[in-house]
Amino acid sequence: MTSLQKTKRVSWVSIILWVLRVAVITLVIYGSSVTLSSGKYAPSSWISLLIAGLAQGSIYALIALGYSLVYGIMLMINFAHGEVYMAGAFVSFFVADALEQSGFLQAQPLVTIFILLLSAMATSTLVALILERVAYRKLQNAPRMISLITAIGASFFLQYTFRGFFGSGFKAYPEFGTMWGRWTFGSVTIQIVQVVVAMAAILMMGGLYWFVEKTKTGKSMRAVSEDKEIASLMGIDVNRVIVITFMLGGMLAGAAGVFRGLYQPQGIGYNMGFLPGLKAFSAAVLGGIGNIPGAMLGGLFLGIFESIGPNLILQGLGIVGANQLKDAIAIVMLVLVLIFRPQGILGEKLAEEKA
Amino acid sequence: MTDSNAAQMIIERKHATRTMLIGIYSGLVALFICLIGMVETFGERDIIGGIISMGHTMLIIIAIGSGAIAVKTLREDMSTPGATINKTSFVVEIFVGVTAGLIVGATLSLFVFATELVDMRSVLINVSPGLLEMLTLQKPASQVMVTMTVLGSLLGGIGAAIFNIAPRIRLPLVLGLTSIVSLGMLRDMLKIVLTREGWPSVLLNFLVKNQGLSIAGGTTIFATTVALVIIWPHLPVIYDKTVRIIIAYVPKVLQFSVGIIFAITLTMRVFWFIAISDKDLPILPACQTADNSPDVGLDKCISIVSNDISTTTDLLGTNLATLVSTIITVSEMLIGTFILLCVIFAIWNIRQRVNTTNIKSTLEDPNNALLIIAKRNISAFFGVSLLVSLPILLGVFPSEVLLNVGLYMLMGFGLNIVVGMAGLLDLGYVAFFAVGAYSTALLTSPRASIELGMSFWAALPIVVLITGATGLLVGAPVLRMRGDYLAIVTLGFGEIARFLFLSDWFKPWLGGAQGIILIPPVSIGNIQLIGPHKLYYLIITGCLIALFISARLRESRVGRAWMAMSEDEQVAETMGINTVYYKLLAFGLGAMIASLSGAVFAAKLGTIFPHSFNVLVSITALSLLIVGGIGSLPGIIVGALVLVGLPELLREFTEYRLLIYGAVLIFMMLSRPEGLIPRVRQTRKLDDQELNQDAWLHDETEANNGPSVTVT
Repeated sequence: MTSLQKTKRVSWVSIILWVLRVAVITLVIYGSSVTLSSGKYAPSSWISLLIAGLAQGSIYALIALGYSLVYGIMLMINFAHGEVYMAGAFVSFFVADALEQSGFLQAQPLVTIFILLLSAMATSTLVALILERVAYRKLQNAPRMISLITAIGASFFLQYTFRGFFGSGFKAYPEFGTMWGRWTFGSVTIQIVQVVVAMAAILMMGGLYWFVEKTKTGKSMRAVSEDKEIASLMGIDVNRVIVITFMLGGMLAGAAGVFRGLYQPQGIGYNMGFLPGLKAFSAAVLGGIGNIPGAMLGGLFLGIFESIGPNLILQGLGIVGANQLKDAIAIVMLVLVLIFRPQGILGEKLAEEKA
Repeated sequence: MTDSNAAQMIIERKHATRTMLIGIYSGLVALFICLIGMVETFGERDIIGGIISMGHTMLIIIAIGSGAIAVKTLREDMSTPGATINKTSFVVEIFVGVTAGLIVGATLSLFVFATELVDMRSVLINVSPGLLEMLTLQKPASQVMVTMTVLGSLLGGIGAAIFNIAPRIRLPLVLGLTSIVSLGMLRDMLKIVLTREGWPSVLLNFLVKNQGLSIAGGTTIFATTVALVIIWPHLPVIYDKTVRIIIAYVPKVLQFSVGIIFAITLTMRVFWFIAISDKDLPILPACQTADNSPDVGLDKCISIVSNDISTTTDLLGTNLATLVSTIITVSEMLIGTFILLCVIFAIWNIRQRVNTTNIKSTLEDPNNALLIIAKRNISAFFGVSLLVSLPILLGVFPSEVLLNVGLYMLMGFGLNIVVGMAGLLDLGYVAFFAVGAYSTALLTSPRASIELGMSFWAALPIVVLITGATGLLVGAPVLRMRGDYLAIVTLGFGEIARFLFLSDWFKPWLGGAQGIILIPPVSIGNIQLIGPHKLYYLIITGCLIALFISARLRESRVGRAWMAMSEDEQVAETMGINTVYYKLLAFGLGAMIASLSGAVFAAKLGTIFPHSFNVLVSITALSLLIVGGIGSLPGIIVGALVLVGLPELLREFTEYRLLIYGAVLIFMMLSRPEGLIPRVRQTRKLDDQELNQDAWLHDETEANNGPSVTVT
């Protein structure tokens, strides 16, 4: 076989791919060199962008973990995961609103955040569990296309259910950011809420990593993701593991919802989960889907890239209004990753059935 | 009561739990539709004027349904082999139904009670006084709780009882009620169609009473449906006989000449409608506004016609004139249809070269192909004449609905090539629709950045080519991806397209958020296709072309290659199918068909904004494909009518359209992944063919061997 592959002619598809590869790299290098040499941004503003990207990226990472966990266990893309995140953000908004009106929030901001996290995680977990029970349980062995379409249906159903329940207007979280102020180091200013969000998210991811690597349940999760049938022969209750996976994903997504509210108080609405969901999926693929550290790394990388990329690369290319294309960057990155390195940054070469 | 009867009265605990669960689930569903505001919104739409609204009807249906489902589950449980009790009695079933209904009623009354205690309005925006008024019928909550529970159990009991009526009675009953509900739902449309000139106002006044149907109207509809259901089984026989008589006794020459006359009439009728009438009026009065028409040559005819109608109006009064024009319309349609049938036979006779002397004897053969072909032609031509005359009969607003259905249907055909045939799940299909619309706008609008101001028809080929190229461009990078990744990536591409159309980057060319304005309407000669009732013909032509292309492709080598590819890509490649080529072909063709839809969309609106091209368009197209059955062409038509047409007819639905799409997608995937009208699998056809061949071979050998045996 190897000799055959060596003598195989270079197909025009791979030529095009090579051209694309070179073009992308040239564009990136050219764009960033132009921006950097123009000196439009001081180093301190790059650092601010980096921190902002880190905070945003940790939110993506939390959502991406949900995709990655479910994909690892069930080999399906839980397209409705963005809505699980939305549910958490939505409910915690109502809790935060009530607490703000009663004056509790102003008195005890940290306790409030704790309460918010609890309520959001509970809601998101509940939504994820209902989703699993109603929509996915029956489809465990169905073709992947069918479960994906179901997930898309579930995604829109959830979006419009929330819209029906709570109205289509956007809601604004209480302003934790202005309440806490910012730190200034020389010329670099950092919002405290960004640091809090990034730290808390990284803490949670550490917790998840510990859970999956060190506990017995985590071990059974890994076993199921390796081989469902053999795992069930070893006495692991596969359904229970799947439920736990959805719970974990839901909890993280709920927390991400709260962090989103803290970090970007505006625009809590019924369709807030769609784009972050898409981006988080990109992040999960970028890190190597099914791989937990990969999802974290992918999320953080995507957040930073999204925050720096438009200014660094696109502006250098002379594109007007580069920040409008911020959302497109994640998707372009997803496409490029899937074309050139489908296994992601950390992913091992996936078996044929997983790729 | 004997022992066995007593045994039947006992109900197992398992069944009791299940009944309660069904009751609770139904109650939650009822609560759900209350909370998302459906009940209140639909409460404004009366089914029967002043008596019952659609919101109430929904709750009633849920309560009845809970009873029916409970009984059905009970029967299914009992019929399973391991069941200890395998027969139920009427009383038990009623009891089960009542229990389920009672729980539904209790859930809602608990909800009403809870609203008395807590103010939920600040969070759940739909818990409004209006909703509570609807639920309690303006009575104090304490009284209503008991009433609601009793009502619920009553309805559950009815649901159970329906299961115990003989099917002979049940079917007409249920269908009659369904027809009342559905016509009541469509009362707006009924009003719009019936208030137009050409339909007698008597009918309108009889059927519709300010908010909904009148009682008399409802009864009539019910009676008509019941009558129809009863005579339904006899219809095929009558139809068969009529067709036989026509084939046998109507002379070919007559069929042929009458056919030609009719074809001319119909063409003129449509021409009249498109070219001359500027209003949506069905018949002559349309010409009254013809003064505005630039066409001088037709002026004379117009003036005659408008004189005619004014004299009839003078003579007979408005109401009667309407009646007369209705009679003319209806008779025109009837004669038209009849003549059309004759054309079919004329053409068919010529094609088949049937020996007329033998016809009568061939007809006595019950399974003859003659009859089958004739019937097929009849339905085809019925379909065509109906398609052509729909906007004439219905008027502008219903045509608008039809136009939208057509736009989505066209997209459905295109998407079907990508998803249904080639098996590539494309969730960013809106991108091609958008590219089609934008390139049309760019090429035709005099205000667009490039100021070409081409005509629609000159622009169309370029648009199709541009969009096809875009299809290839999107298709090329995703060639190596499979299944679910491909879906997400294409979804991303769809979003990217929208971002680009919105961005400041392309604003000088594409107008950013303001879009492109002043897109000229489509014109044929000096006829301008303004208004949905005229564009309808354009989109229908597009749909028919797409249908034809899809049908021919499916039967061709290309279609089989796609099918093989969607079954198993690697095997297909091994069998020598160039998957790269076929994938790109699918993307390109799908994009081209979408661009047609986009072009008509741009010409219809005259202005396009990036916001029209969001992911919901892709989801709608995908949903209609899935509901109809992936890969099934009739399925697309049905899917578009149901998923796009119905919500447009019911304005209240638009709010919940995507909610319903989502639910429908989940439901279809869980219970019926092959869709409402599953595609006829090619493989089965091949199997049949092989079987036939085997049978034929068998006969041949027998025939060959048989005589030889007898000879020796």
